[in-house]
Amino acid sequence: MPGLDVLAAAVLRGAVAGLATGLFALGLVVTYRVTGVLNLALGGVASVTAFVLWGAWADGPVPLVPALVLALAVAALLGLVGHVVLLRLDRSSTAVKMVATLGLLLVAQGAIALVWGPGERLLPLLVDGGVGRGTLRLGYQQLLGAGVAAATGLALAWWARNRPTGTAALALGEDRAAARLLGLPTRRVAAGAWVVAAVLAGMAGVLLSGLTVLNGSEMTLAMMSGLAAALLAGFDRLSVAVTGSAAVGAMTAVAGSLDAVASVPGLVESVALILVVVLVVARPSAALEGAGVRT
Amino acid sequence: MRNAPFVRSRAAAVTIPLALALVAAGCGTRLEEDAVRRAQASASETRTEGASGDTGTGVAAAGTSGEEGGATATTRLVQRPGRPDVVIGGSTGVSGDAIRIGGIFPLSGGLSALGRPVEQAARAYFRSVNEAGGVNGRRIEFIAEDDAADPNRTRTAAEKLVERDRIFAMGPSFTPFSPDLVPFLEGKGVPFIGFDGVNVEGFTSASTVSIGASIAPHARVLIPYWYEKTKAQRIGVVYLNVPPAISYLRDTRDVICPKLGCQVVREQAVEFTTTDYTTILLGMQQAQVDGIFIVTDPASAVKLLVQARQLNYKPSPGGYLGQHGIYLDLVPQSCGTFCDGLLAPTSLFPPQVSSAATDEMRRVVGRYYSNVEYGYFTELGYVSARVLVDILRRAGTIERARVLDTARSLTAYDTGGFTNPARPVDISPGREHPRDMIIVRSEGGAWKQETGWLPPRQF
Repeated sequence: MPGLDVLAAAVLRGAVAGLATGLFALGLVVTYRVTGVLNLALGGVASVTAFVLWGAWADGPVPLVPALVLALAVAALLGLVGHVVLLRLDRSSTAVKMVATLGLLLVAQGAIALVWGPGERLLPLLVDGGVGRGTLRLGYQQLLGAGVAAATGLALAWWARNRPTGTAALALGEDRAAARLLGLPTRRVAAGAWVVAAVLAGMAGVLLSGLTVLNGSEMTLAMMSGLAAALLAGFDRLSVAVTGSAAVGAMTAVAGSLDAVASVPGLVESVALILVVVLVVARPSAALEGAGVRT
Repeated sequence: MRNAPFVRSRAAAVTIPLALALVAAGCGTRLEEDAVRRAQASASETRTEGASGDTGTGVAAAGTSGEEGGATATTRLVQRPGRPDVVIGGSTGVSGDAIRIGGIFPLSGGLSALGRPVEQAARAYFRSVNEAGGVNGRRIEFIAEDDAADPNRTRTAAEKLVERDRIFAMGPSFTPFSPDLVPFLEGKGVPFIGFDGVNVEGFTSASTVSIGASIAPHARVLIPYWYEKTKAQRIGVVYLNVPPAISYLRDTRDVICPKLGCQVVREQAVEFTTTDYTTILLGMQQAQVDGIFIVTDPASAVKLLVQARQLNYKPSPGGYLGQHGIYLDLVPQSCGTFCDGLLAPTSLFPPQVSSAATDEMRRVVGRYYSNVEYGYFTELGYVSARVLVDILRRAGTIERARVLDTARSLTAYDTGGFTNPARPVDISPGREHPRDMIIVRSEGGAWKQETGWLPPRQF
């Protein structure tokens, strides 16, 4: 059994590492609250965004900032495409829409294989190095990811609470028919939610891919943690989505620090998934209580 | 704000985990590289062979059973201790202008970083042979199947190649997680020329030619060399939770280290899906290991090394050591100078070092594929294809028993510089032969040759 100092360090380290996956959680919550769709395609959007950045910057001649802008623009475009596809399923059940997003995820993975080939790629770190010592050392890229996720979460929560557009967007999620009657441009708001979610996923892809290998599936695995956090947030509270990501990251790191857990192959990797299943099975209505979109 | 629940019934308890399972399944899904090659299994059908026959001794009995595609087809009885005898013979998969060869590789999924270059290298060689006129006027039809490193899919792929595509022989393949492929092919009487050598059962099959070396000689060159160079005594092992990697771990922990004086003090299994290597590395740091032995696929090694670089953690004095599965360009490229000193073994001359053999390989492979990762297994695919073509040419008559007879005669085979030129290798099927190794070292983001040819140490 590791000492308390080791566990405390694991909590902090895991929380920082987990925060970046909060971008996925935010994307999931935003899409769900505004459109009622559980958007599993975000993992694919993240991968494509990272590949675009790799192609333009790491493997191409474009400087980092323009390449980042290009990659996030592609993410936004993918969000728009997702919106258009799901628009055709507007009257379908939640389950059908969820499966459709799963289809989009697979299309994104296939597109990556077609465009960039199925091999592994390496996306260089945006910022190299780190701070701290021993068990408390943190990479700058991890800190950047955590900072971006926290700032984005706060900004979105503020926007949702204080700005008319935010309130309107959430009103759309509450009751679409009423929103229409009030004259809200429901399709435009829904399209905006898809674009915002896709850009959030793209940011996650850009920030997380440098810490792993770049392929069609790694970001989908990363999205699992975001999904667990979104469930913790009841697909509702944006701030909880971010802090929930930190909690999932911390739990994963603590689990990995415990020899009894780490010695069971695959158990540490399953922490987020186990958490999702526990939440869904134990408290389905509480865990999944959302914006109240009726389907 | 929160009026109605997203899910009103426990149906959600089923739907969401199901969706997650589907997402997880999708993580390993990629499009097939080349749909065209699937269409290669065209209709030039041949005759089905006989099954097992009388008891025979060794591989001596022979007879003539007919002709096919202009080739005389003889059969040969192969005795397999403890298993039914099989008849090796015939010219299934051979037509007047083509010889159909199969191959199985992990072209998708977690091991694809290793599997794809193997397939590309083998296919490039076959294409070059075909463009130069083929094998005695017949072109090689190479049908590659993707098993995603899943033993069940390996079996399905093998059945498809043998029973539907009617291949003449299994050629270069990379199936390290599928120990039953060799017995399956043996049972069907299909020669396997180009076994990767990872699982030792290939070396006991009378119809399997293994080009690669098994785990034991790799470990028995690498670990002693590392130990003598660094004096790392407390070793941490990070291993992929699959049988070949576990063999590496056990050989190191139970056989090699006790003799050398080192000790495996911490071992950590990982999966293809493991992303948090930081916690694993810190566990190693706490265990005060002198060095970390990475026994994973290249992608997992990259994740580990990238996160180690973020932590700025390099155990001393041993640093990092890799088995031959991580010997791929991708790995040192991922961590640059941080990985300087990382060692790995190879039984084939390092493709990063210019020689007549490696220059030939790069020229041929580069003609068809512009962006191939090079490493031990890439080269293995190329050399296996090369050996297969050479054996077919030497056999003259393309008939299974004849081809295996030819392979059986290759007890001092000159690989053209891919193996130790001072010691021609015995590639005859049926037993494991010693292989010398070269150690390579990561330096400045690329592999460099560290040693000359070293024989495995006896333990």
